[in-house]
Amino acid sequence: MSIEVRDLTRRFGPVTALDAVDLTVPTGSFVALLGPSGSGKTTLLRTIGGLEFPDTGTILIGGRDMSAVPARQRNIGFVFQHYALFRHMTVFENVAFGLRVRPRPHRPTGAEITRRVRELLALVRIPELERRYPDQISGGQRQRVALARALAIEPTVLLLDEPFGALDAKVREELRIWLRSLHDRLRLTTLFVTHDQAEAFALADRVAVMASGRIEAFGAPEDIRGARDNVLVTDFLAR
Amino acid sequence: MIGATQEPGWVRGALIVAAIAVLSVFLLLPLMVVFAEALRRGWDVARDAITDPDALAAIRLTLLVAAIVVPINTICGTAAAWAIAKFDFPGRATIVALIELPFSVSPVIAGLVFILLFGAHGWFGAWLQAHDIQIVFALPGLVLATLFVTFPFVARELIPLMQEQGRDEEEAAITLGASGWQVFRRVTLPNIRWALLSGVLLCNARAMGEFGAVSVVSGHVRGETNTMPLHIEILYNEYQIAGAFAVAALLALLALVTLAVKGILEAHTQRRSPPA
Repeated sequence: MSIEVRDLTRRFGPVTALDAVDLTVPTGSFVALLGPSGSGKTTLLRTIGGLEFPDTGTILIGGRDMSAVPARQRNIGFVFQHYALFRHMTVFENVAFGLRVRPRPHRPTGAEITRRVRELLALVRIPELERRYPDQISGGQRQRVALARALAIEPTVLLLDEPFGALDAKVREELRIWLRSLHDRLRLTTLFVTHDQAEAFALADRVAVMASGRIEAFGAPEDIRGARDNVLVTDFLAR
Repeated sequence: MIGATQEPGWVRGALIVAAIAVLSVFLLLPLMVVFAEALRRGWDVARDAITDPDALAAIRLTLLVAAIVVPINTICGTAAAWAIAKFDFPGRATIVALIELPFSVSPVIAGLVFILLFGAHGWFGAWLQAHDIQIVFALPGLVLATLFVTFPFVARELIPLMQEQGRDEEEAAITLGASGWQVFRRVTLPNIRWALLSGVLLCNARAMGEFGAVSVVSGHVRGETNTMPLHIEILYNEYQIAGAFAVAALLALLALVTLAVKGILEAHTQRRSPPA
């Protein structure tokens, strides 16, 4: 489903984190939200996810206004920067969580949950880790668990906050390629936050460049690189 | 390489011996003295002192007060810690300071506050008398005083831990569709259970052992408003040394049992968790 952000503003005291942001993420696309730290990109992502609240403006997902929909009912897959895995649960239970907390009429049976979790762990290529705990696996593996957990709820869109930020260069490169191929297979609308230009340009169909709470440029990677007319964008890209 | 853990052997040895000596003299020895004194004049004297009707009433009252206070403070302490650690709101620092208040105020003053509020000449005294409600020199007063004194234990154990653990896991649970209660039950509670248990046990130990605040609001009516610590004081003042120590030994035993329960529970879960 598509994500449409319209005229979104959010202030934290004197700081304007989001300044009348408009953004459209078309269905099935893979969009990067690129910007320096403090540019408001994480706030935007969290607001779409329902974890922050805008002062004004609307968010539509699949055409539906999300203003009155709490985070738990948005059915959005969210992958946190530091994974936020449940430390007291096994990998299996982490992935199963979203299914187990469903209201009883919609909750799959135990056997169904097992089947789905194994399927997801196979999809993220860590089937052998299901009985491990988060502190017993590597950073890259945790990232895969976090992704499998987010996918378990069959989300309408996927939001990733600096998905590779905490990984070393080699694992990062591997995961990037893998994530892109996964997206090509699932075609799930994906919006990810990054401060790494190379990552944004290599991965995304479209890149939104953010600075000081505004989206300064939005388009295909080659267009953004070509568009040197915006001073802020040029500034940021020159770094 | 010379580091903090690379002290010469004799220094380490001396420090260990010193630590054991201090622990023995200040912690172990008094505890042993209590039990030795309790049994000095034989089992029968000790048993009689404990099965005396006034002593039994004191034991019952102590357990009753703890049974009321500990659950209330567990729930309120957890709620306070949850609110402080997981939400941003104005006045958080003030609330943290307020939670610490019972630790910084003398228990006697805490007791006096309740007398000033609910005593016969207190702010609400006339109204309470008119409605025939007795708070001070009765069970409600004992419960209130103990609640006040033992409030910080649970919250103080939890706040630093919950702050350190942050909100990430809770937020992840919410995006996965969990309700507020499910988040608490399935994510927050398992992460804090050991600190919570430790806080509850400390709260319980103090609730049973509290003397100062309870002494002020109790009125010392034998067989009615005397808790175990107060009963021990009365026996001691009446030169019934063996009896006093017998009840004291029982009180100490209750504390030791709580500690043992904690140890067993911890050992049990460690066995259940997987090999690293």
